[in-house]
Amino acid sequence: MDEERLREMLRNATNEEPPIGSIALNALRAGIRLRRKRRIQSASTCAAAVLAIGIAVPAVIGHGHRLAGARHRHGQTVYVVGTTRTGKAVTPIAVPANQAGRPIRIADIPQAAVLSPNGKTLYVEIYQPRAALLPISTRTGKPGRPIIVGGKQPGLPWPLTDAITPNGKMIYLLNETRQFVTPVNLVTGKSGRQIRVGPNPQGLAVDPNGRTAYVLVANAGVVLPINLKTNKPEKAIHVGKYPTNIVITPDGKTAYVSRGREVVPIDTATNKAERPITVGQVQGSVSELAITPDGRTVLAFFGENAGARGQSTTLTPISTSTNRAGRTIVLSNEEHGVAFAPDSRTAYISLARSVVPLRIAADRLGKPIKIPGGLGDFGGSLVITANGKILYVLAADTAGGRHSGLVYPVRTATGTVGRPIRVGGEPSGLVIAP
Amino acid sequence: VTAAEEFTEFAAAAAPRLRRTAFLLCGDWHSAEDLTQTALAKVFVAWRRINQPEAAHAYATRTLVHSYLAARRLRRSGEILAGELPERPAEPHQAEDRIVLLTALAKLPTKARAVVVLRYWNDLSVDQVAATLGCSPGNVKSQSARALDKLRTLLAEPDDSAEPRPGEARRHG
Repeated sequence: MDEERLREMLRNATNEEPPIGSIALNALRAGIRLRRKRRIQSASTCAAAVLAIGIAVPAVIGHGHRLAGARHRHGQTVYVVGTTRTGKAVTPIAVPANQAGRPIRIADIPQAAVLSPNGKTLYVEIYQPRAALLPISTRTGKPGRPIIVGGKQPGLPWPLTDAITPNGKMIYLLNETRQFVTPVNLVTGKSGRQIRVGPNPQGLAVDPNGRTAYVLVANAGVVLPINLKTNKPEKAIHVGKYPTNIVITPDGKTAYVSRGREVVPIDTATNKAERPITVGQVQGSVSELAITPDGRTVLAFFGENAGARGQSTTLTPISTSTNRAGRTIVLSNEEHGVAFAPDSRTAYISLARSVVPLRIAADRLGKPIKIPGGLGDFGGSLVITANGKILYVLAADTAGGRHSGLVYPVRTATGTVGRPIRVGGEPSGLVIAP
Repeated sequence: VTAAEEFTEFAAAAAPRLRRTAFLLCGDWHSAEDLTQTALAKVFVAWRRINQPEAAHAYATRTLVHSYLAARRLRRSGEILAGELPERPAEPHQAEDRIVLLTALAKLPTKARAVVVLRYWNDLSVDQVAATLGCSPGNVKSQSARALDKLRTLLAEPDDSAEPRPGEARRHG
């Protein structure tokens, strides 16, 4: 057989293909879910770090997790990340006035944002003209000099998840494509030496004490601890193949890692995996883990047929004191985001058309708070004020949606949905800062 | 034009070819559609970081191949390993060629199959295949040579001179 003959056979083999389905739109939806998941992961790692050192930062990041020890202050700001009606910008919304301020214009569409533990700086991920973190002062609203993180190849895909240390000095960026972690000094703006971690890294979390970063290396089936003093990997912890999510308790004693239908607790003192906790039904996998601010409960969201088309349909609370799964709760729809009340008694879960409160102690869902027009494909990001009184919910559709770029304030005491704040465009997440 | 619209337009244009590549990699259209969707979803996540449409096409192909390789590594994929492909409904045109080829491709090691598809279906150069798979050009050459050798054996017809090839027979008669 010659090469030409092989080419001809390959062409012929694909000649009679069945009609193509709506792959483009399905891929868009699946991509939005993937993006949302990464942002949630990024948010939870940062939240855990701040919790540990007990800084009173009333901040919720991305799809966010309310931070413990926060005290109420007037003058909080919600930042809308993504494109807005004026283009590439981050738009501040004053709390409790609920008025959109002048957008902070930036060079590229912001992909995600991380708040520094002291709440003074918002780091926005941008990729044009170079992959960078753009610091924005939350006091003045002015962007600083971008911290370039993309190496020598501007514009190349750089899928990353990040975690900031509790002292706010370092951020650890995980490059999934290139299989390494890059430490970036946020004070000097310089990147450290890259740390190779292995095939298909899927997540990263910094220990609340700021001593260790835990990297999920999916194909190797391990959690790789990196000593942040030496920036060297330590002995890998075997958890089984394809770990996807990680949360760490605020005291830093236990990390919870999901893989398939299981959640594996890891004792961070010994770096040993403990007996896995099985959640969910026969098929599917855990799509997200979230931990309450008091660290007593881990919520494991379980997706039937998870993966690119994953749909979270159930959630199982896990007690961190006993490492036992509680009653599984069926959700009416895929989970888009979660935020916790400051007292850790209630979790607010955004679904396709509503936000549903979960009374954590009772394992019981409250009355759904309907969001007019639904949350849309890009929507579902939730943040809550430091006093837990107002929840901000992002409703953002893809092209052609009825309610593109609206932020709804919701009174948590009554479940009353306030007048929407219009930002327009394609916002993708909310961040609340002091 | 919004990012979502821009991406949907790209995905609609790129999906047919990606799906055909996926079909040659995994051997059935349903898995090919799933693989294509997974790859495009990952492209969407990186959409704003991709500068030009050419980069998007290359990135999509790379992601597709890597998703295929990752899925093959996943032992619990539920795939039933069999010596031969299961029987399929008869198709009027070029069916024999297709089944023979898919059976032969299925017998190649996973990476070699990817090399064959990228080299001879996507018409990528040795260097481009190496960049896509993340290996050296030398590795691509050796994988390619071994795969061709094996395909020659697998696709050799019992009596090449006496019978015209099925495709030719139909074309001429």
